Amino acid sequence: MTPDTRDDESLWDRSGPVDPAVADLEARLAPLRFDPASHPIALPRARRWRLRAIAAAAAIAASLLLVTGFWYYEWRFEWAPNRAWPVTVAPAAPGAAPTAASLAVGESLQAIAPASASRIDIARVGTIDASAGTDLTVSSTGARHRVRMERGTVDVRLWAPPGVFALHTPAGDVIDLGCVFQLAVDGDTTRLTVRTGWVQLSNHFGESLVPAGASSTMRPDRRPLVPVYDDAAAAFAAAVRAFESGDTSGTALSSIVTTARRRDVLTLLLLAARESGSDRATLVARAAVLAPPPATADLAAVSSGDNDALWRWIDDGLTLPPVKGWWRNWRDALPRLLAR
Amino acid sequence: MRNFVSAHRGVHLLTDSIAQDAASRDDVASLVRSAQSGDREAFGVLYERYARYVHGILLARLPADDAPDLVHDVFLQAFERLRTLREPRAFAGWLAAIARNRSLDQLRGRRVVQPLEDHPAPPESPEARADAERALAAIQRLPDAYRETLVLRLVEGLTGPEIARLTGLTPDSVRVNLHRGFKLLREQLGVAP
Repeated sequence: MTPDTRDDESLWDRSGPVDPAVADLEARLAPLRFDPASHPIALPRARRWRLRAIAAAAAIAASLLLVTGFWYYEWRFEWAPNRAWPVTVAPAAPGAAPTAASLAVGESLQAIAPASASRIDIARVGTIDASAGTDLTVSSTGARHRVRMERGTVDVRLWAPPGVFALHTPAGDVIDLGCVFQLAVDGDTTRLTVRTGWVQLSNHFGESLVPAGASSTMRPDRRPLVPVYDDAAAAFAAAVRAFESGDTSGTALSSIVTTARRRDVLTLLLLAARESGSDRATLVARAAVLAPPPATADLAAVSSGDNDALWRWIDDGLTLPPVKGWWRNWRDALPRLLAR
Repeated sequence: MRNFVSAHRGVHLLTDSIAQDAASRDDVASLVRSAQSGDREAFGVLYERYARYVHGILLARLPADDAPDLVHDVFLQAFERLRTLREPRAFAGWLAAIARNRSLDQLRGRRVVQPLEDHPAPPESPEARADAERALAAIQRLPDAYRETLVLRLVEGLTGPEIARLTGLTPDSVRVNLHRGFKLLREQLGVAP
């Protein structure tokens, strides 16, 4: 203790004799003294902890979802080779219960449901809704699923990589590229309407890629027809089919040109790809008016027969229905009740 | 004889102070740990214990009207950052650092004080308040080393040993600061020794 601080007990801890100067200053400064009881603090709610808890729960849920999703994705594609498909046969009489059955490889649906509609599970990757009287036989199951269809109408919904599922019809093959479609087989004519994704028609004469929203027809004696959008003008659709059937009068071509919309440019170009000479030039010219070619496709080259340039026009210049992807078509992978 | 008694008493005070110091720090550490694990009541106890200390730190630098609001600011900031405090025993020093930084921010005008919702009206007369602020202004003109110690002692009513415990200064340093600061203050205020 220094001499300076020897006699300041009052200032130090109030233990010595009261120093009037200290007491006076304490009294003067008393109004500024803080009283915690008069200023109770309101703490914020534990928002941060709650947010962290929510974030943690969300992360766990997302992880579980991811793991489950991955497992489900893998599980959907597992199917033993030539294992039978489950079938649900609609009741013949109203009010009766549907019948469960199975469709083995080589077995005809007619043997199970000769006069009833039925739903066939394509392993775990999709379903076929077959109308009454449909005649189809399973050719193979496993990594690839193949069906031979002779007659009837089917609505197919699939969520699988391209080529996993295909139907063989008298007119040619219908290869799923991942989509929802309706197929009608009547004698040697196969009619296809695509709802989502793309479907390929293919036979000995060639092939045709049909996008969502379009229809096409296939016969065994000619190349599959080009796709025509279902919302195209009836005159346009009729003229296209007439032109493909060999109308050489020029009427069909003229009607095609006058009734085509911008969206029909795909049909115009696919028709042009099969033509040469003045018909091709006419179709290409009309297409160029409706949807000018991109820089990657030279118009003159396309007109004169360069199909590579024509495909670049289609690929780079047209807004086509997207190829099926899980991020767009995830609903197709859900059980049908939950999906469209 | 008087020197002997004084020295003897000083030894007792020192040992008492050390014992109190250790107990207090353990108690505080326990409260801090509870508050860190989400015990809001524990933080409320810490507020009651340290509010005057924080107010004193602020009042040594800022206008008297600003300090009460900033006390809440400091504690709310401490509450949000409490998990970052690794050594619970260092709570007082950590809190003081927040208070000092906050007062610097305030002086730089960077932040706006959020007024307390239910700011109680000062019970004292305007004259008494003005007189108190004049005395405070005199303290604020003193060198840094004395201001905080004098405010804690004369305004907040803490004793020298308590100030030493809170600030981490040695009791002798606090005693010297009090003595010298008070002497300068009396000169400033024209109070006879």
